[in-house]
Amino acid sequence: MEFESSNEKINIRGITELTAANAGSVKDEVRSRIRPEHEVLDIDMSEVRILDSSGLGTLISLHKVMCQQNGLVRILNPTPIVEQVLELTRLHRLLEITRQ
Amino acid sequence: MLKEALPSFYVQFECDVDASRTPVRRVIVFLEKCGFDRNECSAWEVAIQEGVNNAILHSATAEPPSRQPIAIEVMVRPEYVEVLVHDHTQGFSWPISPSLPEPDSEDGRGVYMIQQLMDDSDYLRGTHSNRLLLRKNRKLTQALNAKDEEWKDKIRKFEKQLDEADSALLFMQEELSSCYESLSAIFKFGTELGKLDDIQDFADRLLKQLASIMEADCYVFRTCEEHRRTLHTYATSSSSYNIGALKWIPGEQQTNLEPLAIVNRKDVLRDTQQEPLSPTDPLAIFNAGYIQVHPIIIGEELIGVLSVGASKSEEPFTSAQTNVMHTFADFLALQLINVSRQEERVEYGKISKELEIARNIQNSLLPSEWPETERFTLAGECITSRNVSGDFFDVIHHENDPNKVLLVIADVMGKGVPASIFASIFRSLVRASTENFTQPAVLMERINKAMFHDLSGVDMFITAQLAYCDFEERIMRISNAGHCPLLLTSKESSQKISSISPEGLPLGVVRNPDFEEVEISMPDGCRMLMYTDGIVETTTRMVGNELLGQKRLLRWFEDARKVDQHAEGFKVSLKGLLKAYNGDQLKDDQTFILLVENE
Repeated sequence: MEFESSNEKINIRGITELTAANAGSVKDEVRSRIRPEHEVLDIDMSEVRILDSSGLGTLISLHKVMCQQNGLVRILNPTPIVEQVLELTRLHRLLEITRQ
Repeated sequence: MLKEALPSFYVQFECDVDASRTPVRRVIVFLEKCGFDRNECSAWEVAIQEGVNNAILHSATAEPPSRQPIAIEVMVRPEYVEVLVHDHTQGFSWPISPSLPEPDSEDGRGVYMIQQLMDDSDYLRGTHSNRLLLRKNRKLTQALNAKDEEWKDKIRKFEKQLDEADSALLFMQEELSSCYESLSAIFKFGTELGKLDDIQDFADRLLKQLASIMEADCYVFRTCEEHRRTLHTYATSSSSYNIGALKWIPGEQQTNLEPLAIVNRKDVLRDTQQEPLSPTDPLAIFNAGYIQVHPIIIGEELIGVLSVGASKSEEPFTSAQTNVMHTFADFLALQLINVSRQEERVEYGKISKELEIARNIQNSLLPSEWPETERFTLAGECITSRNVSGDFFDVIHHENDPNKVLLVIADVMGKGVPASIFASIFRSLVRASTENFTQPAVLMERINKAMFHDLSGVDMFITAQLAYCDFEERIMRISNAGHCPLLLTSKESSQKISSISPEGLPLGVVRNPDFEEVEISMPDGCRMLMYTDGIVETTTRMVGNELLGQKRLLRWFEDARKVDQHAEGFKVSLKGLLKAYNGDQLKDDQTFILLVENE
C-alpha cells in the first residue's frame, strides 16, 4: 500500500485485496495517516480484485472519519467487481466514484 | 458406457481468515481453467470468501470455539456451478430475504451480498457439520464453448454453402438479365416480320444488336449452298473483312473453323491464344481472342454459318451469350427463308399467269365447232394433265366441200410447255399444207421434214395420225406416225372392230421416213375412234393401279357402238369411262376424236 499526501489530499494506492484478512489493518494504517487538514481521501482501487463485506466496513469507517473533518472519500478507478459490490450494496451513493 | 467425469475441486484448510485466502484463490484459479470469465470468477471469489468468513466467524464465537478445518467443494455441471462450504460449527439461521443495514453501518452485508451475487444459496445444517450451498447458472457462451468442435465445423460449412448460393443467385440474376435483353431485342425485330423491304439492312441491324449483347466486336454471317459445298458472305461487322467464298471438300479433315462446324453439325469455340487459327482460315482476319462458330440448321437443312469473335474478353462466351447467338442466328435464317419463299411465290404467280395465258391460247387453237353433215357427226376432247398440253387434235374442213374433212390427232413426247409448243407448231404446219389435204401420207412426210431438225435437236418426237374422210364417197385415207391405231366399226354387232395402224415412224426420229397410207370404206352406221395413249394408259386405284388398256377400251366401244346417238353422246360415255379410271389425278393428257354415222 502506498501513500501520497499533500496539503488537502491524501492518496492511497497499491491495494489489491480488501477482505476480512486485511480490512482491519488497512483501516488502522489509513486512519493513522489522515491529518485534520486533509479534505479528500482518494483511494485508488484500480488493482483491487476482491472487496468483501469486511472491506466495505473499512471504506465506511474511513468515510466517517473524513466526514467528521468535512472531507470526503473518493473511490478512484474501481475495478468491475468493486463497482458491482458498491452498486449492489448501494454504497455508490455514499462514496464518490471517480474515473481518471 | 462410462459417463464423462464432471470437473470438480476440493480443498480443506485451517479455520483462519488469513489462511483462507490462498485456498479461495485456488478455487478461483480452478474456475478460470474451466473457462469462466474474469467477471464471473470475481463474483464467485466474493461470494465464497463471504461464506468462508461467515464460517470462520461462527466457529470463533461457538462455545467452545471450533477450530476444525473448513472445506470448499466445487462441482462444475453443464448448466450450473455448485460450491459447498463445509464448516463444523453449530451453524446459524440462514435468512431468506436479508436486507441491507444502514448505510453507515460497517457490518451486516455479507449474507445479502452472497444472495445478490449467486442465483441460489442455502445453508444446510447437519449433525456434525454444515454446508453453505452456493449455485450460479452458467452463461450461454460457456455452454457453447463446451460443445464439440463438430458444431463449429457445421457452422463453417453452412457459411460456405450460403456463399456458394449467393454466387449462384448472382449468376442466375445475370443470366436472367441477359435473357430479358435478348427477348426484348427479338420482340423488337419480330415487329418487322412481314414488312421487310431490305433484308440486308435487317440482317445488319440484327447482327449489330447481337454483337452488343454478346460483347463481341466482330462477326460474319454466311449463307451456304450445301450441295455445292460453298459459303458466301452475307453480312460482316466491318466492310474491311473482305471474306471471299469458301469451299470445302467433304471427307477431308477440316482445319478451318467454319467447315469444321458444318461437318460436325455443332458449334466450334476456339481460344486463339491457346490454339491459333490456320493462316488459311478466313476467320483469322478477326484477330480475336475467342471465336465461336455456329452452324445454322433449320429442320435438316443447313442454311448458313454465323461466326462471332471477341478480342478484349479474357473468358469464352457464357452459356447465356451462346443461347442468344443461336436464337438470333435461327431468327435471321428464318427471315431469309421467308423472304426467299415470298420471292418464289411472286415468281410462281407470274409463271402461273403466263401458263394460264398459254393454255387459253392453246384452247383457242382447238376446234371450236364440229362439222356435221346430214348423217355424220363429230366430237372430241383434249383433257390436259397440266396447264398446257402436249396432245393435239384438229378437224380441218375442205374449203369447198363440207363432205370432206381431215381429222388430225397428235401426241408430243413429254409434257408441259415444250410439248405444247411443238403441238402448236404441228397444228400450224398441218393447216398450212392444204394442198395435201386428201393425201395424209404425203402430208405426214412434209410435216416430218419441216419439224425433224427441231425435234431431233431436243431429242423429242411426235406420234400422229391423219385421217382424210370423204363422207360422200364413204372412204377414209389414213396415215400413221407411230400413233395408237384408229378404231373403226359399225353399229351392227356383227361388224368387228377394226384396229387400223398404217406403218410409219414417229415424227422427228428419222429424217426421210416412209409413211404408209391406207384407204378403207366406211361401213354403214360408221363408228370411228382416234385417241392418244393417255387414254389406254390411265390407271385405276380400284384394281391396284391396273391400266384401262386397249381391251377395256375395245369393250367399251363394242357396247357403245350399238347405241344410236350422235357423236356427242359417245363422247359423254367415253368421258364417263375415263373418269372412273382417272380418279383424282390425271397422269397424262387424254385426247380423242369420235366420228359417228346416224340414220
